[in-house]
Amino acid sequence: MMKPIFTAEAVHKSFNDPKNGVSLRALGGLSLEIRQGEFVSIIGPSGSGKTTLLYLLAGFLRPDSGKLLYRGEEVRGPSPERTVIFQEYGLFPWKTAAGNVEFPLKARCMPAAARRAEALKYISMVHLDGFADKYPHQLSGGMKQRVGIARALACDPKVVLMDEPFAALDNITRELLQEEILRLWSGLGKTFVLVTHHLEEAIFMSRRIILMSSRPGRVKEVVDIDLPEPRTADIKTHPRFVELKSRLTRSLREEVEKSIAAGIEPELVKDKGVIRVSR
Amino acid sequence: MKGLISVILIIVSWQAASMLGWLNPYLLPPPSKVLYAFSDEAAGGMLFVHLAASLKRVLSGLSLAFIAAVPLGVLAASSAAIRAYLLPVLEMLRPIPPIAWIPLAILWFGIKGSGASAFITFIAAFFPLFLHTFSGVRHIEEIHLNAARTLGAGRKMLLLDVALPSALPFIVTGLRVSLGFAWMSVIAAELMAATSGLGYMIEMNRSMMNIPNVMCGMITIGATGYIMNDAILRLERRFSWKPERQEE
Repeated sequence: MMKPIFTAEAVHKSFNDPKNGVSLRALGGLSLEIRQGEFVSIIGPSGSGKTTLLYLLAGFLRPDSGKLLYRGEEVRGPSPERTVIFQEYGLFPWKTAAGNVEFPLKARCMPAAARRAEALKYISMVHLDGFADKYPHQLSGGMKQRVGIARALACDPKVVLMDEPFAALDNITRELLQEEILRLWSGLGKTFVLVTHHLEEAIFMSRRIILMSSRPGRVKEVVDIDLPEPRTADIKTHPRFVELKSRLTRSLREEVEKSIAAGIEPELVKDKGVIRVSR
Repeated sequence: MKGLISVILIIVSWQAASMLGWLNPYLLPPPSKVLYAFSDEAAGGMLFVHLAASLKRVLSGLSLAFIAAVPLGVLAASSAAIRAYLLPVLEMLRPIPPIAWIPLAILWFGIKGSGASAFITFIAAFFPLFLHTFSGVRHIEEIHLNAARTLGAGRKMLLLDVALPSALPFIVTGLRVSLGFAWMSVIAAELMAATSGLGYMIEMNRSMMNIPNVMCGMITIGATGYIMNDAILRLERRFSWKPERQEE
């Protein structure tokens, strides 16, 4: 049994909706463990607080109550040890691809001369050789997210937190990047946490899936994904894959139906909506 | 190109109207007279002396405004406390037109030299630069701040690698607005509080009823303003990290 890198105990988190003053309970007593070096996905219906959970792990948000520990210590704020890959990439448009990847290196005070070479190494790792000096607006969505991945890896993080990283991409690009991320994960020995509402993606990529309940979010169940290794694209037709998928679909469906029954307005549950982080 | 056609058209019809006797040459002298006044002022070199004096004042006022407004704008945008202390004061000073400061400027800096007009220019240039910097920094996208923090940026990098570059297009636009204001104000200041400059040249010629020379000064102001605006628009495009937009 590997030791946990994250431990959450009875975490509560609410948001105030400034429009009507209603307090929205995003997480209601969530407890979980994330193990060192694993690839784990967090999945749940829209509005189940997946992104809230990820932002708590990243340190952008603090729990209202409960405990959230990273390697035995309370999460107090963002850190490059727990870096994030964003759905909308979050690249700095005023920096080139290399400039973006150099950002965390500069933050570590690496001298300028060494930075460039190091950045090019990561750019090459995500197959973007030759695009180092392009600006984000000159790159396609898939390429932007590759830069996002290279930039996150340049932090030399212990944990990579991914917030729907492929949601804005077309299917083929999405699949290619999924395989790429898996390849990077298996070579690096880092912990990867993926938030997604895409079940197939979660099964394909993870060793474990944490399924969240409808709001307020809690862990509904944790499922080990015991699929043969290495994971390749044709695993999606494996009988065990199909079995896991139908089982998880049922479980997820129950939660979605609960949200609908609870009359949670679609507008409020939009996971894509920005979670305001206090400045 | 089309702009040039309109200018030529206006000049030609103005000249024609004057020759046909539709315009009182005393109230609005024909272009030929203005042109003559131009060659006269230019040949004596005084046009350039006055132009240089005005430009010098604008540049010194604008630079001082830049040095004061940009850091203040960044500070006000990044700290709620500073904002609370600073904004009410500035919002109270802002409605005072720069030319309303002229009496004080004369009192403080005298009428000789450039002090008074440069001060007026500073007042005019300060507010647009401050407000643009302020709103530029305030408009940083949440995701860029979050990204910077999760990549390990400290305060210095948040300022130099995120806040300032993110606000740069706003700041350059502020610079353009400020330059326009400064240019207008320096002329107004020189009408009253200087012994050189294009404003002074206009005022002097007015007192002698040299209307063509007054217009020569006015046209020089317009043309110089046009050139400066054009230069800074280029600068704006150069420093904008936003994807190419269709201008005009």
